Amino acid sequence: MLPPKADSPLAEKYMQTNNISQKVIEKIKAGNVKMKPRSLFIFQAISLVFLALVVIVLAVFFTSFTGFALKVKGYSPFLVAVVSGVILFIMLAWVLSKKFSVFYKRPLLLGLAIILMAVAMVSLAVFLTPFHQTIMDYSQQKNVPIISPLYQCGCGCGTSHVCETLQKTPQSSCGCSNDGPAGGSCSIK
Amino acid sequence: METKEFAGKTDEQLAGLTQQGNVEAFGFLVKKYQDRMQRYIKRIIQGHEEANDISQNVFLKAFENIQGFNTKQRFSPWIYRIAHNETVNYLRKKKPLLLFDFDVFLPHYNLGKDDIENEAEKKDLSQKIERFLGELSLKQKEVLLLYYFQELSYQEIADVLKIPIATVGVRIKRAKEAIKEIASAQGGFASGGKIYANK
Repeated sequence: MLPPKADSPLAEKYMQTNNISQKVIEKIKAGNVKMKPRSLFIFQAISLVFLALVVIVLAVFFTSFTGFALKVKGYSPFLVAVVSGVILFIMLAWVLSKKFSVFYKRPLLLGLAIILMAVAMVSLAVFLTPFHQTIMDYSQQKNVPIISPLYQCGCGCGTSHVCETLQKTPQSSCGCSNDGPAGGSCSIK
Repeated sequence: METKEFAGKTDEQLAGLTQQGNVEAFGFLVKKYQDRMQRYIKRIIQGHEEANDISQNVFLKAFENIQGFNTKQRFSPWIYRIAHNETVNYLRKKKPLLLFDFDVFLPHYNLGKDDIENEAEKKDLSQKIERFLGELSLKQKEVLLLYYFQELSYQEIADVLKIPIATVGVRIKRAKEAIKEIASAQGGFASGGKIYANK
């Protein structure tokens, strides 16, 4: 197609339009714009999936831990912090899920319901296994950072559980003391 | 390479060639999309002079991120997603935009056959819609432009705007209702059960 005459009303539009493709190609050829490597996109995609999985695993861990702690020790103020963590991880999983077309093409409420159901079901399955019991027994034998104080605060030590290692360090990082017949009291610092 | 060699290729094939380092193939894609991209951006930002700069940025961003494009998927929703982000960023700089809408929260029923026009009706509607685009909100404007002017499917619009497919249908329906109200207030062509029954 021939370009319009210089004095025609279409000429200005033609020049503008033509300029865009020219400017874009000129900038690319001059090296002003560089193509990002494919590996970067692969890394980003893998990181996103990995992050989403970590968040889901943490949500499942803390949800099943809440059930286990309630079963072993009953309610304690420390569990409020754990449940807040569960809510935080579920909300984070929900935000991350919107990056995936499987989720954003559906109503957000449905996406949240799917995540809640999945976390609840997997947590129930974990709760029914001796997973938390095993970790608690191990963490009481060896002073594992974060895990030992978590189980001590959430589940307590004493009548049925002996915190030999933790007894050597009566004040753990989360503010639990191991004195007293039922394994001490917990307070959040 | 001559442009004739690219003429028979699909957008996705051209994008694939660009990924292999063929800048001419990308140039051909830019030429193919530049007019409609400019029209789309001009309609969204209401004919501002910046439309040319934004269009240019869209193509430069597309080139930068072309390796992230999956050639098994359609190219047009991908480039319109970049255009959407660029226009929203531009409009945000002018005034704060509230993009969250509760219509993405709740499930919507699928639209019935009465809500889907045939090609002739669609063409007719697109001409009439253009008259009232300026009166609509950004959300309504975007879906109408993508559906009637850029001819993207509901599925593709959902990918561009990252919203549920049913919400696309609801937004189009609401936008048409808004136009109907504006048109009837101005003594326009709206009448009857359908928006433009008196055509």
